[in-house]
Amino acid sequence: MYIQILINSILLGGIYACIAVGFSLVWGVMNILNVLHGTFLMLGGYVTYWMFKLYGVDPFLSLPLSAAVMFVVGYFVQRVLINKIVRAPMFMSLILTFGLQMLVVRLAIYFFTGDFRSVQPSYASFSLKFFGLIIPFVRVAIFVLGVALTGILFWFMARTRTGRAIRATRMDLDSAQLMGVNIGKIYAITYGLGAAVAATAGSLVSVGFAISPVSDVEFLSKSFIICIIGGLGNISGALAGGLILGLAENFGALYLGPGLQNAVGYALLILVLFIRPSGLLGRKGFE
Amino acid sequence: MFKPWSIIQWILMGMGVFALIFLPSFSENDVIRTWMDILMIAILATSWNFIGGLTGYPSFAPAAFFGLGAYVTAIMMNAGFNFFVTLVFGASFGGMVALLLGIPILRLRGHYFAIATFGVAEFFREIADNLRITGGGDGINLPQIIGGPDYFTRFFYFSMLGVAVMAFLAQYFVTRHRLGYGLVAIRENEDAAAMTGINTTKYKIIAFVLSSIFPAMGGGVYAYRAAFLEPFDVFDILFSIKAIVMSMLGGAGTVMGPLVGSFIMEYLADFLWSEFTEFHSVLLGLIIVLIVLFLPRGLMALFQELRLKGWRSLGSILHSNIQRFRV
Repeated sequence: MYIQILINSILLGGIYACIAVGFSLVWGVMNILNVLHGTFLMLGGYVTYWMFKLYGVDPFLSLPLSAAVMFVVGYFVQRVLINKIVRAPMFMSLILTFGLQMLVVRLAIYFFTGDFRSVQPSYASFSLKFFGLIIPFVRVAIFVLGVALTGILFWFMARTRTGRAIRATRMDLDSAQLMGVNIGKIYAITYGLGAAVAATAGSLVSVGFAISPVSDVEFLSKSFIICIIGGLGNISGALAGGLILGLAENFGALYLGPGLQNAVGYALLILVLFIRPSGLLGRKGFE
Repeated sequence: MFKPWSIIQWILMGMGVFALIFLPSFSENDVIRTWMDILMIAILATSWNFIGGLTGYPSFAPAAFFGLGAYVTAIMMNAGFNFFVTLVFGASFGGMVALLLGIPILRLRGHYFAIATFGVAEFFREIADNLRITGGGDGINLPQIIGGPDYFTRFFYFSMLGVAVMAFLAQYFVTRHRLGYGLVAIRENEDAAAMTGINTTKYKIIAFVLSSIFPAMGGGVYAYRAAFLEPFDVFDILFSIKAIVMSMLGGAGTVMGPLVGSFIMEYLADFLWSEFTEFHSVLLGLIIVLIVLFLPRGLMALFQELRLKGWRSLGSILHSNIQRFRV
């Protein structure tokens, strides 16, 4: 039983990491607390849902599409709106993205209705069984893809020219500009990347779990918790934070009852903020 | 002291107070209810101004204290206490919680502080959703108020007005006191403020406590009026958002700003959006975006600038606002 919960926690933690990694990227590079993050996740999930529902496209095949769509959306949101206030007190970007979130979510409820929907491919109920343990196939696939996605992002940031420009911008905005980095464009690309990763996570979530326009707040608060636990500024922080949250939630539900599962997450958030505000793997200097 | 503008301001304020006191004697109940909503939001916005406007700490906690106050009133009234006694208890309880939370939370800055306050509100909601004394997710009933609709509309209106006046006066005196200047100094540069001998920790905690007691009382009035509470109703993040937005629309950090913002937004909302309630949050979202881009310092600052430069420069003021912080 404990091993089963452990496996569930790890599978859940993988998807949590994937949910939070784009959020961590945007916060870490631009110091923007991106309230739209959960919304991008939700919209990505809907891209996959409608592709499956209307055209019968396999959910795992529509991942690149939802990533591409949300990259473009994110790119222009940053270019047209957020870039206008990047140098303002950071509270401005927080409240700006909040306004956009309210706007988009309400429209999504209007167009998609508030129903919870999930993609049900023919292989949805397959699972591996051995020694009495049940490992659902879809969740394993989500876990593997989620971790792979995080790895790709890690590689992108470490090895490519754009990734280097993003890291340079994070270190010193003005110096990066002097070195010929087009800040406005780099910011837009970073934000687009964050949105694309979020959308992929959302597509994955729409297969194994369920999505609705209002579930974006849940994704957002999970991202908060994961980034605070793991710490900002590095991708492994998101991975560690995701795993810890997955474990805490599952064992919290076991010992305290399923009703308090979410409360455990928030309690953990507040606790980590009290003890170690920069997170377990985070670096100081992000505010 | 005898500048003509300040005299006009005082006359206008006096007229406003008179209008608010005598409003119920010549208005229909639905107009009074609209004003009750304006006052409730004004309480939240004015209180947020202590911590968010003056001190510059982006707090998402108003919903937390609003909900706490509402539940204190609900639980105590069910135990037979008088309504006004429960308001005092709610305010004290809210203030105590703010004191205990403030000590660790106010060490955080920026986004971390914002997330911590958000987390506190959500944590309280999850707890209220699971406790027996709060009725859990099923909600909790309050004793119904006795009397006709004319009577209780006025009763709740004047209760709200009383809390709003207290919040406003507290704010008025704080901004003219050492404390207010200290809080603004913390907003401008906390380390420098500490170096000039301001006990920043103490000041911030006082601001946080002040920003918690009035929402708790407002929540109590709201609870008695609604006669039924659910965790999702009163710990709604929208209460925090509205407090922030109204405060910013009027002008965060100014005395009149939160009042002006609440009045304009809520009255417009009631006037325009009663037709299409579905798009209430779409419009609210749109207005937030427009404020942040074009009026980052609020309407009060805009009026001031217009008085200096004349109405013709409206376009250029808005243009320079949107150019100021871009990359």
